[in-house]
Amino acid sequence: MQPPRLSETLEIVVKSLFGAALAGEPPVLADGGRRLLDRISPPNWALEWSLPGWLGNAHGLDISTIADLTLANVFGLAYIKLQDDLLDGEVGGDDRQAALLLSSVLHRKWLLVYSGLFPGASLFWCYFEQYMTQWVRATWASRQEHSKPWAAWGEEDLLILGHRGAPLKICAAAACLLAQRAELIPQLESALDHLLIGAVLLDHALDWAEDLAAGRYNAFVAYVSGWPQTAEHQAANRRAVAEELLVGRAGQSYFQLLRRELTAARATARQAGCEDLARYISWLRRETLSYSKGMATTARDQLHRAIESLFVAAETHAGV
Amino acid sequence: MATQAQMDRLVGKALFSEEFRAVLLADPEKAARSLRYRLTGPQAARIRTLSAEELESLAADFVEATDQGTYQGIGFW
Repeated sequence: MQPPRLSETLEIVVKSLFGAALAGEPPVLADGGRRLLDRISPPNWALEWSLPGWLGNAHGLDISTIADLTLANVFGLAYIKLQDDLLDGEVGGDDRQAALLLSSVLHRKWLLVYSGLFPGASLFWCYFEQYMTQWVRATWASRQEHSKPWAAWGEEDLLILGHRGAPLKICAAAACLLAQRAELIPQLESALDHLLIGAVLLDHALDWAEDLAAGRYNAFVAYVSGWPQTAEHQAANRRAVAEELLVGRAGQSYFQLLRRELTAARATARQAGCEDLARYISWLRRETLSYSKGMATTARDQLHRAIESLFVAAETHAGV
Repeated sequence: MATQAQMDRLVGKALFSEEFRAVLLADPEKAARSLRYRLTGPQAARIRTLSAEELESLAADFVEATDQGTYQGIGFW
């Protein structure tokens, strides 16, 4: 099942505006921008593409403003994705130089769209600064060694984890300010914080093996294993995850926490009058449920088949 | 009589704990009782056909294979 998303027409318009904005740049950067846009286009990143429209429709913004907010968000998303690739060392050689320049162009275009919507003294820029500061801190924290056991994690730790997606809140603040509904910003911020915590927790459950191999901190691994997430303890951590999935509770409490965050996010989104966002959160909650059940079932089926083969081999060997 | 799921968990637990593996192979009924399961004679006999080396080797295979899931991630910043 696909998540709810923005209209196809709006998607086409925003892609066209994105391409036009990069047309004056050196061809290598414009091409890089187009390839990056393909990677981050719907149905992936449905939330990032759709949120400005959901908020705009809920609070009476015109279609041209919604297109601007969506375009800004796509520039922001592209910038953040590229920054992550660069930080992860996934762009090498000659590509790195072009990626660094493209990153700078995307950041500039992101700001340019917003500077056409908000004067320099607008409250909007305080939100921009606040959310980008959260992202920088969370990104830095995600690359440091963590020693805190999962049992000691509190709401603040979860918030920092969720702040990896803090730039998403920029378009929410922008939509509220343009709709003269600044009073909704704290509610939407809270809804998105809960949603982002849930989304990052899900992301970590999906990517634990990749993160472990790359030496990136992973919350799901922290949940199942008390070992530090260092190269030295990689095998022990991998073993702990296998044990949890095969003969443990398959991350039950982890997924319960995740669903609690999404439930809180949905309730707050409804209070803020954004029913489309609440519907998206319901979709994500269902996906989470289906994923956690699937993960447990797959692991147990694998275990059952392997144990049966072991018995058959042993019995054959023993002449039973 | 232990159910199929209980048998899987019993042997599965022995994959990850050397101590439990030793108990299971030496005395399957005792290992089962520690998990509040009850084995029938044929179930215990079946477990006795296993060896520590086979269990260890299966555990290693699982640790390698557990990350080969096919789940599609969601888009995210």
